[in-house]
Amino acid sequence: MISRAKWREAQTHPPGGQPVSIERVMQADVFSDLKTDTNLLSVWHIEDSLANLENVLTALAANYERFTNVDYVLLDGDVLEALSIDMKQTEGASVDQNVNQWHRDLHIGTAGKLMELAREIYSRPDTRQRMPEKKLKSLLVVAVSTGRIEKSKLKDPLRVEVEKLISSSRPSPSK
Amino acid sequence: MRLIELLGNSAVEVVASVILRGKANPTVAAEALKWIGHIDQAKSYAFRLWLLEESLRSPFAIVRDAALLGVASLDDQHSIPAINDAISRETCPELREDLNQVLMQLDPQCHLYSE
Repeated sequence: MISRAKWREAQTHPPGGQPVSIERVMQADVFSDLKTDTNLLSVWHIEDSLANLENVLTALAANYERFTNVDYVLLDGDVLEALSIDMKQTEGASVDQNVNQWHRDLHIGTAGKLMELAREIYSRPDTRQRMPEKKLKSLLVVAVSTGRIEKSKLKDPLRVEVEKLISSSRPSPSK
Repeated sequence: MRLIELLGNSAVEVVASVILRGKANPTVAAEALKWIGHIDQAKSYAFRLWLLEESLRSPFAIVRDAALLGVASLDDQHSIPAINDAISRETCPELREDLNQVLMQLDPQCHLYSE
């Protein structure tokens, strides 16, 4: 997950000027979206068909205190291979047990490698996407209603909002 | 944001003057705008919607982005003209794409106009 605002395209080829390298225009804040722990970067595997994308994003949105949009990067596995970044399957810690199997750790290793990864993401604006809050709201309501995500695992303010939506979508008993 | 929930319009007025005069750090203003879209309070609704729409004119992309998230959160069709204006001004391609996404959300028929 990222914050798209931090990755906004800056002018790398100013009109009539010399091209500026990505390193000189990319904001330092982008690295807060690439937080590593023991040199590993936590990511999620998305199938080529994108069949599991909505479930993964819903599980991530379920971690927040309120309904929110989710900004994310969809990076091709070939890019990681080209950067020689190893990927290992590890159990995720999302509130959706079925989603946790898709969790992966990227072995970043060095600051230089993290910079290379940031440069790849920065130079490919089409990889940076947004799932709107409204869409995630309905996905989360479905996930909780069908029992895929346990209501009790949601943080209190989000749980209250989800409960409100579920009860308002129930048909009122006929007299 | 607790302050807005307690004081309503007078608190929004203070936040608005700080944000719209460019007195706030853009990152802080952006965070405030995101929350302003999530406050559940009828009495400050119109003022909050106005502040979010005005913030779409910010010189800072991060503030415009947050204002857009706030507008999307309120999900009010009255924002359609403001979104259309913002699309015509927007120079950042990614943000223009996001504006179009919100326009589609507020007015699912909008794509028919251009066909």
